[in-house]
Amino acid sequence: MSAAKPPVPAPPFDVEACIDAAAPMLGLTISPAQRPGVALHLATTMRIASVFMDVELSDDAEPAPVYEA
Amino acid sequence: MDSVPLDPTILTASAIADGIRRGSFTARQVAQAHLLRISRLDPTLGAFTDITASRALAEADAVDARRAAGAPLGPLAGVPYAVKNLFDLQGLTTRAGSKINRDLPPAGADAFLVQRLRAADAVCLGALNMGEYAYDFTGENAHDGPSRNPHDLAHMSGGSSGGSGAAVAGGLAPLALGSDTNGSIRVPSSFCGIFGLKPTYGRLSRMGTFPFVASLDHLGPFARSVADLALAYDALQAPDPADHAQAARPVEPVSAVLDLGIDRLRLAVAGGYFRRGGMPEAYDTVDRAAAALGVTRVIDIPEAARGRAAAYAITTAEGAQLHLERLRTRADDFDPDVRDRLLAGALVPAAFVIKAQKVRRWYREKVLRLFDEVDVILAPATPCRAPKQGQKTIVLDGQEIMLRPNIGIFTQPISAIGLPVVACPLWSEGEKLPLGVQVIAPPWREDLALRVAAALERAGVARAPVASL
Repeated sequence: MSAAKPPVPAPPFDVEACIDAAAPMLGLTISPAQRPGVALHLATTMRIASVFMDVELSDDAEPAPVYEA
Repeated sequence: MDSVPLDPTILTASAIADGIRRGSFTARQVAQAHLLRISRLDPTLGAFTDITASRALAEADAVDARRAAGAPLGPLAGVPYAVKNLFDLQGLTTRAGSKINRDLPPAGADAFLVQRLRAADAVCLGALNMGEYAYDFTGENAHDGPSRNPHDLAHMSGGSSGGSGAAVAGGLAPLALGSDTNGSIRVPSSFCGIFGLKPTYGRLSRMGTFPFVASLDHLGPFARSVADLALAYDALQAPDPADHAQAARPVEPVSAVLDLGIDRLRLAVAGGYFRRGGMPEAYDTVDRAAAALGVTRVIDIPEAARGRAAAYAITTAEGAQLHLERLRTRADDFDPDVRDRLLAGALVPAAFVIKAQKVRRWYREKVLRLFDEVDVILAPATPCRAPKQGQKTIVLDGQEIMLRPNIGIFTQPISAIGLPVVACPLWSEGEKLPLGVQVIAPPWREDLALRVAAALERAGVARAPVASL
């Protein structure tokens, strides 16, 4: 079912906080040398993701884990 | 080596197979000529990572022996080929462009598509350079060095199937196999000036290849003529229960329909998204192809930006999950550019990735409706000609942006939903480097894309000459 009202905007994605919180939980060590590159690519991905995250889909919208053309 | 009347390295696969059938030359002579050219030019081009000379000569001798015995020959009789080094070749370690995978044992069997080429009597020359783990559009490799563009060695071959592009354009092989997750067949085809086919998602088996993004990985051939692409594609089609993503489709040969022409086809040029973010030469190339085909209609591929964005997020997250353990334990052994992208991908929240998969299906439904109105769509393959080796950024629409993620802006929205595409190379007067056009068809209609590509080739607009080296 479609949402009856516009979705609440998501808060800005905090790249540095995500790296600090998620990397240790995944068992990843981000070295000081790696961090600028990781932060740049994560920020790019999240900026690009904002292009599709505002698409309003019904609750029964299906993902495409094995895509069938 | 025995003398050969004509240098076989400038011939197409079809001409080689015909010549061997007629007895104009032997499969051994053809294999030797290609091995000689590889030994002379590959130190400069960097296309090959493994040369399987013994295997090539043994397979060629088997073809010659069958011909001498009057036995029937396969459709690719004596045709040399090479494969991106993510395809398993029995006895070789499948490195997938990485340092890490070199610790794996040698492959116990050939990949399914290699088995298909062998069954068609083709001759395997070896494995080809590629961007690490296929996360690349440049053709550069931190471990093996770059594959270089045969038409201008200072420029990129494109990636990630960079060795495939360099080998075919450089006359080291008339046929190669590669993979395409977001553009890795179509980008090297555009930069190196050759024809490439990315079939429909689920058409060709991926068994025996090192994956990147299961949701988006495709395999396909490169060649210097449309007839060769069709010949290879026909040989590659076969059901394989080992690939869970392969669709239950019948084998649908295409070689016999290439000459049907385009009179009854409804063609259009992609506007909107596909007229932004590129250099003027990208649009000029498409316009020249359209003019040659008499196409005046322009259509919008709806929501292409969102489809591309979804593919971008799925790629980085799925790719990172595949490599998570290696990122934990051997991060320093990755190409730093690839490693940082994968580490970032590992941190993308699940909510974004699952939404991307839902958006992909939503986008697919919108695009498929478009094919009620048109049969084939033309779009640029890349936003620019091949950049220089080592280039990190590109100026598009007046903005300096990162090169690696943006070379695929025009290919990614198409592979995101698995549509079949033939990349066709066009050349501008006075330019050393080509630029490709994507010929895009509905799912399972590779025949339509190949017919239009053949029409461009017949008109003399699209062509793939061997580079002068």
